Amino acid sequence: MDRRSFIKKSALGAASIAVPTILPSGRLFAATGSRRANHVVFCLFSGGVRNLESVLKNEGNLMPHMLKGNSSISSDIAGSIDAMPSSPLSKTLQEYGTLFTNIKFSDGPTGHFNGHTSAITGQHTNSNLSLRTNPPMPTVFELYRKHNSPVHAARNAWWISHSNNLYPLLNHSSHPDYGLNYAANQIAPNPFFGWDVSTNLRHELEFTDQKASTIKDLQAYMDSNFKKTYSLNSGVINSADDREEMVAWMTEMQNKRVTGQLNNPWSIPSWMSGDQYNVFFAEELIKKFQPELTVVNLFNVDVAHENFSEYCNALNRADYAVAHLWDTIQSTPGMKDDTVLIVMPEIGRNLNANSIIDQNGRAALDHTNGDPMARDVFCMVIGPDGVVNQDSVNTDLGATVDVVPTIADILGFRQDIDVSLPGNVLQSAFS
Amino acid sequence: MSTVRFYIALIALVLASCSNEVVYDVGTLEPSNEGNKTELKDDLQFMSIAYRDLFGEEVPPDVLSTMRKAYISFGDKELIIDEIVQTMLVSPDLDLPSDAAIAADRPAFISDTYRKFLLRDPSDFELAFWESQLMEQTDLTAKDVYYVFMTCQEYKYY
Repeated sequence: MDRRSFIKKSALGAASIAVPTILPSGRLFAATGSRRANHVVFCLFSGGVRNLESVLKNEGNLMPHMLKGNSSISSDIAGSIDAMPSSPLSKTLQEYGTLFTNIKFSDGPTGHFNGHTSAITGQHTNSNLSLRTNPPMPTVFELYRKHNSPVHAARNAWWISHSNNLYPLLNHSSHPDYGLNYAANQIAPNPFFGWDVSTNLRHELEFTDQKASTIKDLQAYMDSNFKKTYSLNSGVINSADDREEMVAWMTEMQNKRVTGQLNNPWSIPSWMSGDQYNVFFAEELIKKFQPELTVVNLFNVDVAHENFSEYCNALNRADYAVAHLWDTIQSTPGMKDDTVLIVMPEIGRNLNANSIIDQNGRAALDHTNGDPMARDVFCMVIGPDGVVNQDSVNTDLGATVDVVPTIADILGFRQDIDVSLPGNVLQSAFS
Repeated sequence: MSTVRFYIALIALVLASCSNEVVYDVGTLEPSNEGNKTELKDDLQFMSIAYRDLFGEEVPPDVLSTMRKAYISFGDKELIIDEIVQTMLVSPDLDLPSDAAIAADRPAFISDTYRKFLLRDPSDFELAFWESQLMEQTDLTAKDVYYVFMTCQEYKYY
């Protein structure tokens, strides 16, 4: 017996307590509504993106894989924009769905964590939002898990964060009716599959069947002598089978890192950015698990605080990454033609620049509360023809808090949610 | 002595003479020895203490940084903690008692293991239990035993 099987066996007892009986339908609590699709990938095109550089194309089309149009990039910054490979898609992402150009981050401080929290919980936030604890209101992961299919849901809900800075907190809330029992699996793949972790966390004990049984008995003996009730430290709880698959996947990724197979896997002419790697790992995870709900964020555009040209370059790289993600989804059995992809920045950036000037003489951009431009973003809803309106542009006023009810609507549990959500379903995206 | 009692005594005598197993009758006494541990280690404490217990030195900053990075980066904390424990146990830098050394003085190995991980001496019952296990399960290594101790509930407390 290898170690994974041993972990599986060891965890079986606890998992059998945590996991309720599965109904013949495969669900414990079937969602009330019908589904538009069985998978949603929400790409938080984060870091603070202004509509001026995205959908309004003030610097030319910096997002040629996502947005229609071939307007030239402003000549003074063009030399700072790295060439990306040709699109893996036959048309722009915009043409696979509906582009909303008038979405507001309408309430709360225009900071990244507030923006993320608002997008992932569907709730407005304020300056009292703690940066040290899980948010108070349930995340979309918990809403999904509680009202859909809790039996399989930890494996089916993934929060793939660009970094470990604050964002792992967003895989569940502290809400008493939701919380850890409905959490998403969370991974920050860039640090987790970095060189140091990959080279050090890849060894395994291996047990024969007989020894595994012996060790299990010995563990039971030791615990029988210790009467305190052991409660797990905080963390999502996976079933034994799912845990086994996760260990196999993480080992595969770590082995690829160590053997050099993760060196620029997309063959980007220059180098792969952190955003692009994050999407790459999201793709690998999607191929392995075909989750029903995946949220992945990007972040490199936040370089705008100090370098406007690099911000535009990061936007261009993120644009390619999202197109690559959609191509992978459409190449993945189980996800192809059954997935809705939602792309939205969490906040915008200021209209007024700060005083930092980059190599091209451009001034950098912050995102402060007093600047209305920091509240304007776009949202793109991409999906199969017949489910999502194709090649459509919508200029109606919407809100970043609309994404959570929209996800709930797609996955058929909108009417089951028993907490108040201020947003509305982006109905006009759907056929 | 009645006939029934005579036969019970006879059967017991025969069984005892045919078996090398030692039976410890503890009656209704429940063998509980918690070592006055009341506080649950948090996971980062757990990793630091585990390293110190195994390697006999404070965890180097770069090692702790790597462990912490792995821990924070993955949501299933129990799984990651288990990975970290096993990673430490297969480290080539870990100096483990050899099978021969264990066989030469099993009580000493058992007592050392209790002191190393649980910060207490084994009870007579625990000592006898582990001694019999090491005699019967001849393929049990120090690594296996350490894994059992490091994944037991008592080790999660201090």
